[in-house]
Amino acid sequence: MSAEAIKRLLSGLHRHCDTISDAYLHNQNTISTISDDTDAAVKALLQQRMVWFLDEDEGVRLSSKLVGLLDSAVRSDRQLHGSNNAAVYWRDLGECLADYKKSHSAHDIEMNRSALQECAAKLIEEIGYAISQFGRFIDRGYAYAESAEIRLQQNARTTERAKELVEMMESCDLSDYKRATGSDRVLRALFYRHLPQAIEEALKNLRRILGDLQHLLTKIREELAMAKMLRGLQNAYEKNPGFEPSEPVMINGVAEVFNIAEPLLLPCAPNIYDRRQEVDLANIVMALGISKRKTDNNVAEGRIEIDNVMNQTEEQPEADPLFVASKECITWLQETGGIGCASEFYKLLGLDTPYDSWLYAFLNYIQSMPKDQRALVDIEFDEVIDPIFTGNRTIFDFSVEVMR
Amino acid sequence: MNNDPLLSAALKMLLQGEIICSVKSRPLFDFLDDENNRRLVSDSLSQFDRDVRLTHNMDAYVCCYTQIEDPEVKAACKDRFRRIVLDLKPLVEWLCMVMDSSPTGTPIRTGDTLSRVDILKRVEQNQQLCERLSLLAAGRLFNSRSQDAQGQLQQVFNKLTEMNYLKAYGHAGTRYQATGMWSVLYDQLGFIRTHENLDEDDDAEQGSFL
Repeated sequence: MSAEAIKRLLSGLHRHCDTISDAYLHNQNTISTISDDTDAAVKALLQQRMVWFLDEDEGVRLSSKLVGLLDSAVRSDRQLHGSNNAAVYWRDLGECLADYKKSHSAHDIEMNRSALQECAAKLIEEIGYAISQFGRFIDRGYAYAESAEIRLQQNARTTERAKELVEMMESCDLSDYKRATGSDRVLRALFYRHLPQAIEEALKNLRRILGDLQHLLTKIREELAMAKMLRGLQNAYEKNPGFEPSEPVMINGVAEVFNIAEPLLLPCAPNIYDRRQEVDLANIVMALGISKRKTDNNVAEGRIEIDNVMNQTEEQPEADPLFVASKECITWLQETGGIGCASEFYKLLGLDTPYDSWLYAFLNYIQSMPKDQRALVDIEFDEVIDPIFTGNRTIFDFSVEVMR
Repeated sequence: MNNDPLLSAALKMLLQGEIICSVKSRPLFDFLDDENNRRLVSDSLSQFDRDVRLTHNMDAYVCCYTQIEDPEVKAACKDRFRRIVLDLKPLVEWLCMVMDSSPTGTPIRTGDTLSRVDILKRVEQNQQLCERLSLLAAGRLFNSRSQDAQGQLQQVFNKLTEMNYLKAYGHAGTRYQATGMWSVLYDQLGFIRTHENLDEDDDAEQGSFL
């Protein structure tokens, strides 16, 4: 090929570089959209045999030679943008290899061989260092940065750098080096074993580190979203102190987040008919000391028989447990002068009755207190407006405060 | 019949209305993380018209109803909503307070360690946080009578532990771990936020600021 032909080819490539780079970088080596600009490029490149045309549906494809050329251009670019010394050593290694190949005298061969070895050793060391650097990034995760936004930004940048390093190492082609080693045992060990192993190990670690970093980034993003959500709710309460979220409409189903099943209480009785459980049950009964209490009661009952016959026939009415509980709660509040919630009392007392019954009973007790005592009791209701019957209110709870 | 003690324990916990998270029970949480085990649990719970589901950020398993058309189920879910609404304001205030006092400004997440001593130090160094704590602790949920920050914070931690949001650990009794209950709460807060269109105000504010 004459000098004129080379110039023509290079200037043609230069003139249509945008179309070529677009096809290479974004369109899988295909010039698919034919416009006035690309039409001229396609004609010129077809003449240079830099593209080929299969059929109309597939468009025009870049030739494998051109793709190879672009690959090597991008590869060295990626290596240089690895933003660490590994890329520099990788480039130096290439230069050392070129010198080694060119050397003829024994002295030159030995000198370039040593340089090649030294450079490869430095590259291995640098790869290890780069990986440990990224490892440190992950450990810290920029936790010292107070702003989550900055943490997110810095970690995203680290991820980009780590990805560049992965790309650089993935693009390391050792075939040239392997060919050049010939029968040199040291170089063979270096390029067949040590360097590939170091690259493989580094890639493995880097991928793991990248995975961890991605996980950390997801976590930070989640935390940012959660923080924003909490601030939104806090603002709502600040702007409107009486803010109360409206009840979700549950016509066709229920909102998933509130679909949490209430405890399913399954009371069961001991199986006294199972002989295998007999011994265990007997031990439990013994431990309860029922027989002793029974004896004590018998003695007491015996005394009643003699002393007061009336008591035997007269049935003692049992006090309403809700009434007793309400009374105890109010007494406790009167003594301590504190505030208490009906729902908390309900939990503390462990009552068997439904919560609604307890609310009614407790409220009734308070309302029926003597006037002077009732005047000291302040009730604050927790209620929501009925979304359908707007005049109605549903009371869920109330707090009681007794003035002393 | 499967006699796996982990299966039995997971079923009991879920039926008792408890959540399963890595803080409350690591073995049970790992057990449920296995798809086959989860299917076993799910099959067993289906006998009671219940199922197991995971919170959005995958921190906790909860027992849920399957018959969502059932009026009783709807009533129970409404009741759940109402109970959450009652405690919502103090819980949001507490979460924001911890965020503001934390050096990283991140919200509480399942598994996070909270040191009562550290929070107390930060609160005592900041008058605004001190006032916020005082207001929060005296409210209906925490109901503290204490006049000092230490007592107020103790009451807040006690109440949150009682409500299963925190789990105390260590011998000193001053360190706590956040449970998956926060994850459940965040899901509910997210729903309320969307339902109430709280984003719009936020975005509008940001827009005007910019």
